[in-house]
Amino acid sequence: MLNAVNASLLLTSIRQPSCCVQLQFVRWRKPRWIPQAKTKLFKVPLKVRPPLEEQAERDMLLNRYGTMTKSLWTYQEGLSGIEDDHEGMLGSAVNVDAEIDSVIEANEKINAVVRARREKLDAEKWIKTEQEILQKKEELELQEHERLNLTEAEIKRQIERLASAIKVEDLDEVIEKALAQEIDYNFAVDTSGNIYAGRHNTGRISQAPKDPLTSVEPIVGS
Amino acid sequence: MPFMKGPAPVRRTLQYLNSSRLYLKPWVRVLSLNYNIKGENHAGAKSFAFWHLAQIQYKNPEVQVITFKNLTPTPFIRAFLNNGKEILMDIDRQSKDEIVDRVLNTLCKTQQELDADRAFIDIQSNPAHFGYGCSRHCICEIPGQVPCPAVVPLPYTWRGKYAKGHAELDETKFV
Repeated sequence: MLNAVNASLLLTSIRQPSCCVQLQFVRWRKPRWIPQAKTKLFKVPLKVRPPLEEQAERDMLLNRYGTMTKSLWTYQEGLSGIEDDHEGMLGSAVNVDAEIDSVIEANEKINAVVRARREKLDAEKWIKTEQEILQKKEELELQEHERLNLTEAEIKRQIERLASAIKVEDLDEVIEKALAQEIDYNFAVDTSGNIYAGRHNTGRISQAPKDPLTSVEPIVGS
Repeated sequence: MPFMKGPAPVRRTLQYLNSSRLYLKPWVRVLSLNYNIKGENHAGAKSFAFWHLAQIQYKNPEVQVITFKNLTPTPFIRAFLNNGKEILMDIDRQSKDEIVDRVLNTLCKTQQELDADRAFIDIQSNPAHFGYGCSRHCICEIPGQVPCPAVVPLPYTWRGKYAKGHAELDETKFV
């Protein structure tokens, strides 16, 4: 079983690229789920200890390295403090809060000026808008007044027309009167409006035709 | 974006980006601009965003610059500071140049600060300098130079005190 797994892994790990050039960029390693080899199971690796002098030399070097590193760190921290002092000399670290407060205060003053100007301009704009609205309102009222006048005149005109209208109770009388007046339309008219009656006319000849635009038609009403 | 496309491509040239003096103070962390794209009281803020926001972002890469459009009746700039405070600048009906002047006077470094910063950077970046904030504290750190007299005293012939006879030589002590 293990051999089969190993063989399959080996095959997959040494898969050749399509260009048939043997390139393997990742070194093959035993996967993590494969246990320790049985041959290595009880093998105790020999711990190599250096000689005492060698060990003392190594300790000395390590201690020296530690001391130098610590001193360098201390030196760097001192340098950082000096840089902070330098920034303080430039005025960007010491009185930052005071500077910010002064900037905010100056900004508030400018904001107050801008706000006052805005309120003034808004008030002027509102007055102008109000005037425009009032002017438009007056124009509309004038138009409405003219329209009412025209309507009233039309109503008066129609009432005057109604005065000469045929009423229902007079309808029979008017019909009889109209039937009694026989009008003969068999005549000729020349371009100057002269009427020429025929030789066999029996009734009253109609007058010259009225202009339909200027004539008022009778209104039949109650 | 292609270089010569869009409105006013000069805004993306290095020469234009470098030509401003809009270096924000170190305590400014976020700069937000609220304005509308319509309205005559927003015209200056809109123009400021069009012409100068890229310069601000270029000069201050560590500052977040954001815009909020069509969310406010009146335009304003709000700067969030590193101490938790904020500065609100009302820029209603102000022209582009007025806004630039105001940002310069309120949030940007002064000319003296810029000169000092530039001098400090020059000192740091030039390896020939030595002293405060430089790559070396003393010229004696260079091999071949005269060591510091506190560590290795100068020869008697170089010291006027002994060369002119104001003090007696002590040859057991110093060379």
